[in-house]
Amino acid sequence: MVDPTLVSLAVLTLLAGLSMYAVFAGADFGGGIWDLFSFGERKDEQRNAISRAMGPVWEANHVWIIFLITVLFTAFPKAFSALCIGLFAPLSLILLGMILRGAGFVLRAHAEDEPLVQRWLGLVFSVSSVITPFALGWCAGVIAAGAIKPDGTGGWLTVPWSELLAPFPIVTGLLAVSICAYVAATFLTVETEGSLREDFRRRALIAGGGVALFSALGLPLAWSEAPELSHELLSGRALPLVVFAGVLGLLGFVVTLTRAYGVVRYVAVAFVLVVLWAWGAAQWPYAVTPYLTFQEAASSNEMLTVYLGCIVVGSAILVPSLIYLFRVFKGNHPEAGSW
Amino acid sequence: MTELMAARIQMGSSLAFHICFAVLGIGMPALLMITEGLWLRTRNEVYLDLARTWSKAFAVTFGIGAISGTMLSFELGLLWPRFMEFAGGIIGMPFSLEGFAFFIEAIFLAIYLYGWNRLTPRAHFLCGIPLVLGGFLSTFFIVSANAWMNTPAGFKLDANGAITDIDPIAAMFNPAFPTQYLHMLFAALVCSGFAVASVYAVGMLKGRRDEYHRKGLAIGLAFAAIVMPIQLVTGDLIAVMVTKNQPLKLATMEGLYKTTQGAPLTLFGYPDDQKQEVVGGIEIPYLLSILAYNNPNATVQGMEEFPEENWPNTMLVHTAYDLMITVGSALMLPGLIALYAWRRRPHWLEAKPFLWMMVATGPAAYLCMEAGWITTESGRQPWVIYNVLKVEDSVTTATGILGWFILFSAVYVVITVLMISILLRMARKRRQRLAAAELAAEVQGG
Repeated sequence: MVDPTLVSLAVLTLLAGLSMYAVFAGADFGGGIWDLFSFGERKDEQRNAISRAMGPVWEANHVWIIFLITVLFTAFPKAFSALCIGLFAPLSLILLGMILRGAGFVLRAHAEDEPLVQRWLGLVFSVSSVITPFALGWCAGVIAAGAIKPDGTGGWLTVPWSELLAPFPIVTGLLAVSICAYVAATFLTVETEGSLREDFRRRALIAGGGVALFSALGLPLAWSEAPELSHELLSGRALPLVVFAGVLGLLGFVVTLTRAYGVVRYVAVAFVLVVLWAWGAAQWPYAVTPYLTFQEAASSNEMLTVYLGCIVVGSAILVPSLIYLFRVFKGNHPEAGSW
Repeated sequence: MTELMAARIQMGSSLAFHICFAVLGIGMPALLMITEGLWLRTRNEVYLDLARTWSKAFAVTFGIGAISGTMLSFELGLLWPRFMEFAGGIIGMPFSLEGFAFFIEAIFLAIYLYGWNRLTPRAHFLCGIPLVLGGFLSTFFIVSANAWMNTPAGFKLDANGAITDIDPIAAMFNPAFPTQYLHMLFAALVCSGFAVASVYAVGMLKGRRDEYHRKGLAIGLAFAAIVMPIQLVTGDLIAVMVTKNQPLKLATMEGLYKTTQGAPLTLFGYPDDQKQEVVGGIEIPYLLSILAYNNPNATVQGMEEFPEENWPNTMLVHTAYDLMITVGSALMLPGLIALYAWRRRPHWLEAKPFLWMMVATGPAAYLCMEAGWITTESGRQPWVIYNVLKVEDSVTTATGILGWFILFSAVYVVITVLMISILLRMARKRRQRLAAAELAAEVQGG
């Protein structure tokens, strides 16, 4: 049997990667969402602020999803296989969204003197920035609802559309979109000034309202559609985290309302992390609820040992590099990325 | 079309697309460092102009490479879940390490691209080092995983087909890995060098015979020409390695049906599986025995020694291989000609025939690299893991692959068209900027 300690450690690396992806790529998705919903007299300024904030960092932020995929198939190959077969269509949609979003963003940045092409590319970028986080949250909902089922011969069944389009997964998709929008708008209040900052502050409040709404809708739906998850969220080991997330959500609302720009960013990050961890705690020990645990999906002691060693060495190089990247380009009111 | 066929076509086209950008991701950082280094040494502004122009174009190709690479990491699971379920626990580690290498590349590329005015010239130059290393290491890990599919190692199968005795390190350093890695790394450098030289050769043929174009062409050509001889050596090492580990693949590459002592090398022709002979090929006596065993009288195993159901597509593999070696050998020429002309006939280097040849080198190097990948990938068929797992047993049970393939292909076509037009516009804009600056200087001076 695979050593449970190694399994837990490997799950923690997965959760850590997911946390990084949720915060950093989540903010980039949110940037695209606000690009789509930019309105008012400062429409262009809003879009420029978003591009400026994302420009140097979005590719590095995107790499977290690649990291997560490799972790999943290295440490939990059976789970990777089950998810890829069960969620074939939603994952293909995520992939399409990521391709369109990346290509739209990169190409738009270099098409300054072709307003029409730029507008279309901007639309591609922003629409796919809504679709991708939606589909990610959607997948999480489908997994928690126990819709990925074994076929009885060692393989897995593809989840039928009727179950993909159930209310709970749709609401988790919308929740993911509103969380991304909230984080992005909050980050942007720190990176802008004056009336532009007010624009993003208002957007953070609107998105926060969305988060509250979809959480309120999601919890009762989970109770009927994803009983394992709902049980842990509302009465089990995840309850303290759920309460904490609720407190952080309220705090986020208060600090945004009172323009406490010194702390808004930290509250938003903490909120996203606690929501994610609450979900993780509620889903544990299942990789594919309720048919496959992480323990059953784990590769082997040999692989997990070597893998964890690689994570330690890799992180020792990665973390300082990331800090350097954000030191060069972030901080308060960064200058426009210049060529 | 069967789901299997659709999956194979989608995977193949995604790989063929991504590798075009991946080679630039490996080669361009080195070219950028060389050029920026020349600027730091000589303070000749032309080098800085070149480096900044390349870095802008590279930002675009790297971005497209990042998304086409994402496509592949998803497709491994979406199309081949049963392969990944089997292989992930054995060869997953190099992929995870590649994740880190890609991180380093993405981070330092961002710093490099957006940091021209934020860092001191020296710090900016030094950011090229992790960028180069990131590319070289990415290649290292990805090729390790691919080589493992050719020469699987680091595990055992028990009587029930279950995997035991997993050794991830042995899997990573499998027999095909060292030669395959070097061959791919140098291929990437050659492609990048010739691609750059090719672009400036086009400019010179259009009459832009200034220092900027000359230096751009010279750097690209020198870079590729220095690597070319090494690449021929690694190619030879691969032939020996394949002979030893995948004799059927070697026989298919060569169109050698019958086991032969003192085997000739047959170039092109039509390999007829029924008659078991190559019709109309060019035979070079003893060359195959020399390539495979370094001995003209050595016996080379023919395809007849292996069950026909395990034969790859002979026509495809044989033709792709011959394209690679003929075009690859021809790519030695530009370097040799330039070396001769450099001291004795410098005007040759500005002559139209030479420039036309240089224009051809970029596409030729890419063709050669793609042909090489077709050789190794198609030559492994029908196996996804050589002699362990067949492609047909690893495809997904999900349906509807063809529809997604058409959708993704359409997206790739649009991206390619837009990218090319944006790169061309970038070059045009640089020229307009220069012309405007010149005009302003004239007005001031006059």
